[in-house]
Amino acid sequence: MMKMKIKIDALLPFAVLFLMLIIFGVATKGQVFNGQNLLNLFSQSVATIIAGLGMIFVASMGGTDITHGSLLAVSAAFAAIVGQSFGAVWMFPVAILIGACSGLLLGTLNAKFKVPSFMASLSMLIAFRAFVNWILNSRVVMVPEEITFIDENSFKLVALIVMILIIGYLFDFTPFGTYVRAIGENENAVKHAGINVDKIKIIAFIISGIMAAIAGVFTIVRIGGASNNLGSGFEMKVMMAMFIGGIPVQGGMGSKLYKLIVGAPTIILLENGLVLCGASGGITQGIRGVVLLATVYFTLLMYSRFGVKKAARKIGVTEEAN
Amino acid sequence: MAEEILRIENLSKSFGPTLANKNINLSLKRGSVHGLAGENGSGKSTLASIVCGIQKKDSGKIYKDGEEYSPANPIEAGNRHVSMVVQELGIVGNLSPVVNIFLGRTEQFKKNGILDFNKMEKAAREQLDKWELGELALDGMTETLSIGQRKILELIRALSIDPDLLILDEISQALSQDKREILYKFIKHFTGEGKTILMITHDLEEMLEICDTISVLRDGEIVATKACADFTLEELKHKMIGREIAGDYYRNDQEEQYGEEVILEVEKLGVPGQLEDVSFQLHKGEVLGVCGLSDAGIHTLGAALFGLLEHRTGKVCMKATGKLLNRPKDVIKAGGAYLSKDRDADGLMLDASIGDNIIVPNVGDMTGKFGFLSPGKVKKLAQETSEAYAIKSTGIDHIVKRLSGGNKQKVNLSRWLIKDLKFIILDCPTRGVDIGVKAYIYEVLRKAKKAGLGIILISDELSEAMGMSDRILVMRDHKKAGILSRTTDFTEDKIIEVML
Repeated sequence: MMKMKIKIDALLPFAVLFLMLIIFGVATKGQVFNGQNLLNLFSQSVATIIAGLGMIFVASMGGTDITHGSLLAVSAAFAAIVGQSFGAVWMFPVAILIGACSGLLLGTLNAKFKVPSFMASLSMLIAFRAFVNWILNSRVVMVPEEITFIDENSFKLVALIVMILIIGYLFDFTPFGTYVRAIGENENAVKHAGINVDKIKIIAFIISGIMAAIAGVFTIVRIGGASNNLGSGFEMKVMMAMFIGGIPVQGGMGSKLYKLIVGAPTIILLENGLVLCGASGGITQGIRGVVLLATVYFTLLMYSRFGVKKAARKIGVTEEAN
Repeated sequence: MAEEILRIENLSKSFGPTLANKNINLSLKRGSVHGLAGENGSGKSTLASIVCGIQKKDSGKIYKDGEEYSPANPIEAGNRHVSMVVQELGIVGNLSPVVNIFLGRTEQFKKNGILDFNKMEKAAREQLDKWELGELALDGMTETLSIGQRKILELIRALSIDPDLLILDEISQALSQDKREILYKFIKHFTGEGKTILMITHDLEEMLEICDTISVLRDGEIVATKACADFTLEELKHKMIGREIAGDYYRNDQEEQYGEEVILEVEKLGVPGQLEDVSFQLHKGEVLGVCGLSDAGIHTLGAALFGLLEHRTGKVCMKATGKLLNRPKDVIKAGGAYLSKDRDADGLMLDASIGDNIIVPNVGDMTGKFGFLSPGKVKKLAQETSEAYAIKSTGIDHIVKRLSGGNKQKVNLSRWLIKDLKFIILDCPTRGVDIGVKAYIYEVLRKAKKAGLGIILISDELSEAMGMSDRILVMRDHKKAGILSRTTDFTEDKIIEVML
C-alpha cells in the first residue's frame, strides 16, 4: 500500500498535464501542438517557474508568500529605471537586492514577530502596489535595448535550466532543504533538534523574494516596459502552478520540485488552450478556479487514502484507533 | 453478591484487515475496579472506545444493567451513565476549564439564551469537592494548565454526567506521584458508592495494587481474566507478552558508578517563576535521575537545560571546554540532546515517514562539499538506524503516526543515540510505552551509560528513577531539595521525605 501511494502521488501532476494536452489537442484540432504555440507556452511558463522556484521553499514550510505580483513589478520597474540610467548590467543586481530586502522583511515579520505569513505578505502586496503606482506615476518605463537578448528562447532555456539545477540542489541535496520541509511537518520538532528555525524561515523568504525579482526582470524584458499593472495577479498564477502540480497545501515532505515544473506548463496550457478554443477572459478565469479546486481536492484525497497525512486531518478523515 | 453492570458477549471489531478485537467476552461487576492489561496495539483502547460509543462494534452484543446497549456516540453512552477519560488529551486549549468540562452539554446552563458561567463553575466545583480531586483553577485558559491538571479536568468532565461506569484509559501516565495518590483515593471513593471503573494502564504494579479483577488482552483476544489476588507481576507480564521476560529490567547493583570526569556543569540555573538556583554536575557514564512532585519544576529543568526557556539565569557549561550552552543549538553542537516529555508535539513529525524523522537531527553532520547531502547516504542511515533499533514497521517509508507508542519512542530516541553524544536529557522516556519496549529502552540506556554517555533522566515514576539512576536530584517548589546517592539513600521513604 505504501508503494502504491508513492506511485499515484508522483503520477498525478503528469496525469493532469497529459489530460490537459488531450482535451485541448482534440478541442483545438491540434492547434495547441503547433510549433509556434508550443514556443509561446514555454515563453510564458518561464517567469512562473522561476518565481515558483523561490516560492516552493516558503510553501513547503507551510507558509505563504503572495508578495510576488507587486514585488515583481517593483523590482522590474526599479531595474528598468536603473538600467536606463546606468546601463543594463545593473538590472539584475538591483532587482535581486530589492527582492532580497523584501524577503528579509517578510521573513522577519513572520519568524520574529510571528505575523502569519499570509497576512504579512498580503499587506506587503498592497503596499508594494502603491509604491509601483507612485514611482511610475502612470508613465511607462522602457527597458534598455541591450538587454533584450535575455528574451530569446535559447537564452531563457539555458537560464531556466541553470536556475532549476541550483534550486534543485538547494532543495533536495542540502540540510537546508530538509529543514524547510521538516518545518512544514512539525516546526517544534525542528526546534528541538537544535536548529535555528527563525534563520531557516528568513532565508526561505529571502530566496522567494530573489526569485520573484528575477522573474520580474524576465517579464519586463519580454513585455518591453513597465506599467502600473505589471504583474498583477502573478502571485496567484505561481501558487496555482505549485498546487496544480500536487505540492501539498500544508507543506511538508510531500513538496517536490518536479511538481512545480510540471504544474507551471499545465496552468499556462489551460489558459492558452481556452484562448485558442475562443473562450472569453471571464470564462477562462472561472475554469482556472474550478480546475485548481479539483486538483487540490484530489491531492488531499490521495493523501488521505494512501498516506494519511496532515491533509487528511484537515478534510476530516479520521484515523484508525491504536 | 456482586451484581453485574456490564456484559460483553462475542464482541469483534476490525479495522480493514486488522482484527482489533476478537470474540471478547467480559463481565464487569458493580463496585469493582476491572483492569485491562495488554501491550500497545493489543486492542485495549479499541474495546474501551466501543463501550463508550466512540467506535462501533462489528458484531457481538453488550448489555448494560441487563438491557441491550449499543451506543452510537459518546452522548448516547452518557445517557446510559457510561463515560470515559481518553488516552490522548481531548481538550480545547483556548477555552476555559469550566467550559471544557461541559463542552457540548451547556444547554442546561442556559438562561434566556445566555450561558450562566457562575452556575457552571458551581457545578464543576461541586464535582471537584465531592470527589476530593484537589485544587484546580477553573477560569483562565486551559492551555496554561499542566498535563496532569488537564487530566484531572478530563476526569471531572467524565464525572459530570454522573456515570456508574467510568473508563480510565492510561490516566495515571500523565500524573505525578502526588496526583496519583489523589486518583487512587478517588477510585476507592467512587467504587465505594457501588459504581464501576474499567481501567487501562501500562503500569502493572499500579494495576495489581488497585484493581479487583484483571483481564489480559493479547492480539485482540482476552487470554485471561482472574481476580487480582491470583495474579503475580511475573504472570501478568508473561500473559501479556506470551513469553517470559528475563529477570527484572531495572539495574540490580546497589552502588553509584560513574566516571570521575564531569561532563556538564550547571550553576544556579533559574527561570523566573519556574525554576530557582539549581546547581549540579553530570559525570561521564552517570544516570542522574530527576524526581519531584507535580509542579516541582522537573520538566522545566529539562527545558531550561536545553535552552528553550526565555530569561534563563545561571550557567550551563561543558566542563572540558568551558563552552556555555545558552541555546538549543549550543547544546546540540556540544554533543547534547533533549527529548521532551511530549514526544508527539515536540519530537516527531507524525505525518512524515520513519526515515524523514530519523534524518532531521543528523543531516547537519552528513554534508560533503558545498553542503552536499547524498540521498543514498541519508537513506542508508535511516535504514540502518531503523534496523539497529528494531523499529517494528513495514519499512522506513512507514508513516510515524501509524506506529505504536513504543515504536514511536524508539524512532525518537534512536535518531539521537546514533549521534556521537556526550550527554542526553530524557524527559519521561517511557511514557505511554508498553513493558516490552520499556525494557528495551532501559537496555539501550544501560549500554549508553557503559559507553560513557551522561544521562539526565527526568521521571514521574519513582520506581523508574530508583531503578535506573546513580544519583537522584530531588526537586521541591522549583528548587533543588537534595541529591541522593544510590549507595546510601535509595529507599522510597527517604526520597519521598525529601520531596515533601
